[in-house]
Amino acid sequence: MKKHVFVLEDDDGLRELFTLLLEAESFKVDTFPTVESFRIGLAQQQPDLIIMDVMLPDGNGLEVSIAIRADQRTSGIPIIMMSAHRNFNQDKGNSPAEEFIAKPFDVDYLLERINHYIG
Amino acid sequence: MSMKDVVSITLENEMDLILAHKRTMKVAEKIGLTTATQTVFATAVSEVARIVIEHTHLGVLKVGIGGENPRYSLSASIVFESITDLSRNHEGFFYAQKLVPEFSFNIAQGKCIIELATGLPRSLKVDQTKIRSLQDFFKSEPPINAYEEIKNRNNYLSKVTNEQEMEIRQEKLINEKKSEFISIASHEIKTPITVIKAYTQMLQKLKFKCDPKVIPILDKLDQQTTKLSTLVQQLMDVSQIENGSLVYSMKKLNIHEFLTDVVAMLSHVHSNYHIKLELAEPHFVHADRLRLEQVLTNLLGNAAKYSPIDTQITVSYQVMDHELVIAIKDQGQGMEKDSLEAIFQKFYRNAEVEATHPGLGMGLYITSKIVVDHGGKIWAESQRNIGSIFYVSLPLVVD
Repeated sequence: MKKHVFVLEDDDGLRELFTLLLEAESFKVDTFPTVESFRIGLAQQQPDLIIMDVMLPDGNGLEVSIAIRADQRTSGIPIIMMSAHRNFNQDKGNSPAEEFIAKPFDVDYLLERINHYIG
Repeated sequence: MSMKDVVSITLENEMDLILAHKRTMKVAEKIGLTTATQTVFATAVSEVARIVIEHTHLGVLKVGIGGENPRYSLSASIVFESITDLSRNHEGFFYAQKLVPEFSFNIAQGKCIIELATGLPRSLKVDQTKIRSLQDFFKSEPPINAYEEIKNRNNYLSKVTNEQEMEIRQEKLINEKKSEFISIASHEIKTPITVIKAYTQMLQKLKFKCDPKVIPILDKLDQQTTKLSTLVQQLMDVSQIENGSLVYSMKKLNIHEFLTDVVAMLSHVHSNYHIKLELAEPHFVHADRLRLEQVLTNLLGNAAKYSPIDTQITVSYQVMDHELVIAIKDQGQGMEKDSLEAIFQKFYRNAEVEATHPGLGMGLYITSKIVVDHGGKIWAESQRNIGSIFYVSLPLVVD
């Protein structure tokens, strides 16, 4: 069975990129532009990995990651946080995410980290 | 009542009473009223002014022409912050009210407004032109006495001071807006760069499936995207420096390991140069690893940028006076002494290299800011056509 990845990202271009990139690596991909749509998706399905942005139109990725970790049903799903903010360093203390990758990212590095968790 | 102001007097002390009286007389005279009417109106105005001055020194008297064609009037208004123990029942106001045909006392939005008026006969032929010439006349009227001269000068100075203070506040606000704009704009620009960079890398992975001519083009595309991304990052850094939101995550860092890693990474980036690392015994500093990496990337990038290819760039360090001093030495074109003093300023670009080496003058400004925030110093030595040495000193961690 294909591994399933959820992507929470508000930018259309990036959602399309993640879909193309991850499907080429034989992952099943679902993308969500808002925290609200992501919550609905997460209530219905259980992905193997979550990639998410920090700044979202209707919420903050750091808070979303805390909620995922607090919910018993989803607490075991690895999370990769991505952000274009340089102060991303400071976010590490505020989120239980496994990985923090800055944008722009290196494709090989991202794939390597994804495969590390669900390869 | 809409009034066209002819004179305006701030009511601060008894001296202003004399001014109020004389100026009101003069306006009434210039408009052509009889001496009797001039005196009665001026007396009413100065009576109200006297009461106001007894209670506050922040009142303002304005004398001018009110009403509309054909029913113009000579009008005066006195405005001051409303005061509880001063009501329209003050006996002085009754006296003034008896002197003039129109008298009103209103309080609106915490301000007390007293208005006095007397109708102007049609025979005076008041019209807009006459009002304008009246205003012009009083604008160029010399001061009535020494007191008014000083008062005028004071008013002028305080007006200038106020304007300057407002300008400074405005400037600060514009600067904050500018920083905020740069921060938001660069964040927005970063997103499409992220997408372009990722697609370029995906294409590079497929390069063996396409025409070999495509490969160098893809490499150039990747290089330029990286350059663009660095520029945007620098813009973000500058705006963070400006609004003081640059934060560091300081950790104890083994400089020996740090330099080995960074130089290995940068040798790959600047493969046309011989980058030599001269290591000494291990030492520790407190630093934000990513920011210190940025310092090295910038200094080595500059060394490469201003040196002919195939030359050597040496990175070394030593301990001097309880400080760790890192030196980056190149065999490049060097620079004059006056440039050496200016290169760390924001947006500075040396006139000689401006045309030949593109850049925005942000790199060394950010670099020096990071070094200083680490408690260190940055400086350079240079000799024309021999090369430059950039030094970065950082306080050592003593165990």
